[in-house]
Amino acid sequence: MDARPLFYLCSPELLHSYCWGEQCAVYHAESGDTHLLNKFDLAVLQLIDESPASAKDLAVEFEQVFDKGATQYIQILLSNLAELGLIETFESESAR
Amino acid sequence: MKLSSLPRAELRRRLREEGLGLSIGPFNTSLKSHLSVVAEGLEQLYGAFTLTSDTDFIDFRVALNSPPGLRSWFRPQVNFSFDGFVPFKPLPQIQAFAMFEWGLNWVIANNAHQYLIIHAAVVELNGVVCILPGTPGSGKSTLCAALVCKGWRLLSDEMALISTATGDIYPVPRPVSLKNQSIEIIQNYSSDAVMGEVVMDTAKGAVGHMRPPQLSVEQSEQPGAPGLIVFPKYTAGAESCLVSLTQANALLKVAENSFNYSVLGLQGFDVLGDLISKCACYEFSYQSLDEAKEKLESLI
Repeated sequence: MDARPLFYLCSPELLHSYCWGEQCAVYHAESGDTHLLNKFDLAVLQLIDESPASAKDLAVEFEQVFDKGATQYIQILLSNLAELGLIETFESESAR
Repeated sequence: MKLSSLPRAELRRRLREEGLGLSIGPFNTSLKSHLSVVAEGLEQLYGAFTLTSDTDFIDFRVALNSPPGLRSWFRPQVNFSFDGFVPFKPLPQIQAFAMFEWGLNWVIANNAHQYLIIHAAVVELNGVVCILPGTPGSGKSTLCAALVCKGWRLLSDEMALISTATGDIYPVPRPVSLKNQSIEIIQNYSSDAVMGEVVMDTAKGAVGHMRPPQLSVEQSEQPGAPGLIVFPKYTAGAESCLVSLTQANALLKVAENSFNYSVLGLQGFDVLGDLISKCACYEFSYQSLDEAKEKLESLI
């Protein structure tokens, strides 16, 4: 059994986006802030919206997108998204 | 009936008594003032505007009058009021007409939330509306004045009104505000440019207003369809340079230039997202007005 933080969307119903090509503008209705994300970052947010996930889960999920460095990219991204107030964590006991 | 058809004495009487009702784009505005500088400014620059009738709803009631007391006589000043509320400190009375323009900008930006309002000049050519957002000093009004002197339609030199219901852009083709060297540049650029009185030593330096083209005023009930967003930047000594801007970046930049994006919340984001989806977006540095005009026309 290991305890690891699971990331979840703070308020999924309050997140709205427009995407053009690889870039997306994301509006967070709770804060009134608008953010610029790339399409991959938004896909990570959407995955977290479906079900809370750990950094490790996400790195595995998106492993094929990266030649290498998925874990590092995901960790930095999650830290940035948390800083923007879009996601939060809770500790979960997991047998995986 | 147009303002230019109103006898001078009647114009001044209405300004002093019940208020002069003017149809300015989608807004009916009633203006009261006993100051001759206001009446003269209206005669010079608002001649093509339609007067409201007695039965028309008035959206904004504004007044420009002297503060009470000694300042009526000694270094006279003027106050701008909106529904009796005085939002600004008084200015020297010679600046009364300019204060009407600035005050009306403030009134629209703070009250017309049926529109997403962007701080931008807005012009149209061949049915394509071009939004020119810009911070003060970016040269948007100078470029706007040059374009409308050469046949582009003026929708506004100060604000893009994007309907939250339809996404159309509503015109408010008021006088174009020019500052400092821009006044002479536009006077030299086109003999069609008709300038009102230039007021020196305002907080913005010398300020003059250019009369809006008559055709643009006559078309002020016709909204336009957005097609271009161009962030202009006057750069002395540089060749004109047009750089494509991604739409997501353009959305953020336009939001920064909006008067009421945060007031409208999610509705503002949706209106802006739809607007951006319909537009090609660019950053544009220019020096020569002719080159700038040519470059922009190549995008239409």
